[in-house]
Amino acid sequence: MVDPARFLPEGAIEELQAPYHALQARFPQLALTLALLKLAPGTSPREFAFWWFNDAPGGSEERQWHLLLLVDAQSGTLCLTPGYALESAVLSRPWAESLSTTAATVVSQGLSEALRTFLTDARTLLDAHWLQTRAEQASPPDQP
Amino acid sequence: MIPLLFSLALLTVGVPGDSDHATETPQALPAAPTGHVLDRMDWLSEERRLTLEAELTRIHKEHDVNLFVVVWDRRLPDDQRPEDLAALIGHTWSPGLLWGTVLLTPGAINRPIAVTGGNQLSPEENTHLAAAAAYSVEFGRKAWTDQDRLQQTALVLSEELVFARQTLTDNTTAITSNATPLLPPASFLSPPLLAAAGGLVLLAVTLLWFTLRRRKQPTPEPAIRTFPAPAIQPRLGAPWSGGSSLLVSLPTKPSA
Repeated sequence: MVDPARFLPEGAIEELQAPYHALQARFPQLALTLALLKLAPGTSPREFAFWWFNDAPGGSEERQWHLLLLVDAQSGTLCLTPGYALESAVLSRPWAESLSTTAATVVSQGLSEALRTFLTDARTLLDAHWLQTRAEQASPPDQP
Repeated sequence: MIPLLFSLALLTVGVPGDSDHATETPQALPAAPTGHVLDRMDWLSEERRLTLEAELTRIHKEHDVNLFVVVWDRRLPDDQRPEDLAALIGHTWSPGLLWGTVLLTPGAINRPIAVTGGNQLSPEENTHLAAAAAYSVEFGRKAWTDQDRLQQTALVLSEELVFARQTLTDNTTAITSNATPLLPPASFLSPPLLAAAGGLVLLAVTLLWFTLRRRKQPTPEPAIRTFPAPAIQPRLGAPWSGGSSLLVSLPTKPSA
């Protein structure tokens, strides 16, 4: 959790620990970062995410299993960026719908409730992807 | 061992309290209900209570898992945490291998808490159960009404406990299957040839039984899930992410 400007209210980070740890306990291979920032005017959230993954200090092979949810107060956008290993799971319609729901929740119920919703959705969606992956492994598609 | 299990069972979610110690003793609890739902405030509708009761009873009979749904009618003392009461209920009312308690207290009627525990669980299993309890509460939070929230939390936790129970059963079966062939067929020991033949038959029957049994049972879902490493072709010279993103804008807040 990265919240240098303290967009989250007092105690919200502690309340998000439970859904965050539930997700991490289920999928220890993954690392989810929630970044609440106000980027410099003119800075694209996508460009920031690209820099964060590939050029920020401390990069290692594990970073391809990272998932970055960036909430940019400057542009008023939510940007979800996966490492290479998670692209097939995350760049899909259900995740886009979940992100839209999260954005709507930010406005209607506040940031902490929105992040809680996102964390719960993320676990459900990863569960679904895991089941799908397992099924595909059990019965691989016929070779042409 | 019991204190250790008890403390592990307090890996819970929900309303944090001010104290580390429960003041209520097992004697202060009412007797275990005949079923799995105790609604001391008559807060649940009859239909909902019966629905919950039927499902939790089914799960208890089929999987030996006790999940109690309790709507408490007294405000807890300041020095007692709801989690402690929930753990006390689970320990006191459930003699089984695995239990869970979903508890509502008057001070937090819109926020059910979930606590899990069991006998002879490893620390890792307790951690998984605590995560399952957290997940069930988070899932329940999406429900529209307080009653729906309680019901959803209970039903999701029951599913998680069933998963956990199947995993435990699978481990026990594996141990038993290793031990069974070593049991000496005492009645056949006198004629050595007959004993050997009997042992072989016993082994074959045991293996056949386990094979058929495993075919009938669905494979338990693992608590920890990992994805296979995909083949990765970096783009744009970027080592860890190609920068493909999902991007949405915050909707405009309607003006008052």
